[in-house]
Amino acid sequence: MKLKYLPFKNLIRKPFRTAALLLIAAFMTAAVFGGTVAAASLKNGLDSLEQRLGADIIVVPEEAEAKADLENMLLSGTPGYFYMDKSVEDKIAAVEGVELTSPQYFLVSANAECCTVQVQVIGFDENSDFSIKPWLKQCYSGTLGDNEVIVGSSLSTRVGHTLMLYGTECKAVGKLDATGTGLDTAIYTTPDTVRRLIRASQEKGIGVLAKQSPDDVISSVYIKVKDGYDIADVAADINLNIDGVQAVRTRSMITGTADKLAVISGSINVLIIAVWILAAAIMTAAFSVLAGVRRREFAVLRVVGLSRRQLGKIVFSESVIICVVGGVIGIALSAAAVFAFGNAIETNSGLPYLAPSAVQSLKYLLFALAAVLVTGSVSSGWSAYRLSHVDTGNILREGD
Amino acid sequence: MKKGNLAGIAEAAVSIFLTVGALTIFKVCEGGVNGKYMTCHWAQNAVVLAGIVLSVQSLLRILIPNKGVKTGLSLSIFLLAAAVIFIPNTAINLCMMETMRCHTVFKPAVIVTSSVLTVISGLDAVIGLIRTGKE
Repeated sequence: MKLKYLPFKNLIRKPFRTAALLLIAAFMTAAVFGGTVAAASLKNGLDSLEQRLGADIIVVPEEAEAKADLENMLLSGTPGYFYMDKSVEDKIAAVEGVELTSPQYFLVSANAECCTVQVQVIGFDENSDFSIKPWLKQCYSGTLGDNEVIVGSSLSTRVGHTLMLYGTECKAVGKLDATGTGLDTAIYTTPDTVRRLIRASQEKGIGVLAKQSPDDVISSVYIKVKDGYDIADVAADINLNIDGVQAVRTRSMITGTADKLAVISGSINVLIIAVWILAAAIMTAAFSVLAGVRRREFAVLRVVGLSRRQLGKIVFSESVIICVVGGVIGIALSAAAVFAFGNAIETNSGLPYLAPSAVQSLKYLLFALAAVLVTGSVSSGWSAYRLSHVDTGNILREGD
Repeated sequence: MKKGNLAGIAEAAVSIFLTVGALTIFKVCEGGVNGKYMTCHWAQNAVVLAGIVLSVQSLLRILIPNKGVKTGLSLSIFLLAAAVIFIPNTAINLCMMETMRCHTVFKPAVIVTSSVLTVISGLDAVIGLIRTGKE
């Protein structure tokens, strides 16, 4: 038998010992890889939400639930709708410091045909919009026609297929990239289509508007503030001078989520470090105990002619094999959890969650593998030294 | 317990987990529209049926002593398990919203479980074919 196969044979001949060491290595890699990917996904989700909001201030009706509805809509995808008089937009445009305004229209579908969930419909004015169009253009460059919609990435509707909303057939002409936020579950269309859907809902007896005509209402106004003006001051001006509305700074809406994410990411990092220290301690202890148990085995190998260097190499090779195999198992397990169940994490946590790109994930993978390899190598170093310096004569004379 | 049956026992355990799990811990969305089942219900039925067939094949793989038959059954499990990966949302549509349970829990659980079964049975089949070739 060639010497290079000896570490493999040693590991195969002691399956339970090998399995226990593999488990520790797998656990450590899973914690490092899974933890870093989960923390990065949460950060990506928040960044993507920040980019997609695009406005400095969002104005919604003054009703207490409107702001909460807006946050739920944007963060967790809970459908909602509210309306205010469309004249509000002109009043806002006249406020000092306001550079651009664009109205949006919200509507909640009744049940979409195939399932019992409601879908958020967002109507945006293509002429004045500055917040949705930039990222909508990535998937659709034309102009939205009547009853044409662009669907969020979390809707399984494919481009070219139709959706039945309040008995009206709407054609999906584009599909957005994932953002990891509630915006992924929405449908985007023109104000005319939203008004048509509101009328269709009234005809079906599910009127979302009590008295007003769909032509006289809007749901929110997105505002871009002129350079040199303080966003908080402009929001305060709007709240002070325009009745029946509340101006919400998009930054303040994100701050709450960012704080939650900071706490979660902090906990994940603490957990990673704790698992790392624990795994390193267990590995060092395990290799140290094994060094004691395997003294006779290594004494015999020394007698048959292996050099101290070769003995050290055997121990070192065993630990590298364990770390690589355990690391691959750990990465496979944690990848299954954080990638395959990413949607479940997003849905249950109510936080934006966007998995990192393939290149980014590969970096985390290599980092996790390097971490377990370094830990394993350092942990086995002392054992390798002890076993390669066994006092052959004394050990073999000790007998059974 | 014979060493040669370890892979068969692992295959049976994963197959039974797939079948029972599809009906319990990772079952699809509950309820329906106007008394009709949602589309994901049919995907669940297909997975359960395939899971039952996989479980029976795995048990036969344990009980039948002939090594050639064992290898043949492993190959069959490998192919069916690989096919199950494509049942949710590829062969049979799931619900419209990807935030629904059928997308967030059922689909990833079925894909992960059947992938594990594919790997185990694939390795088992390859080892079986090599051993059969040597004899």
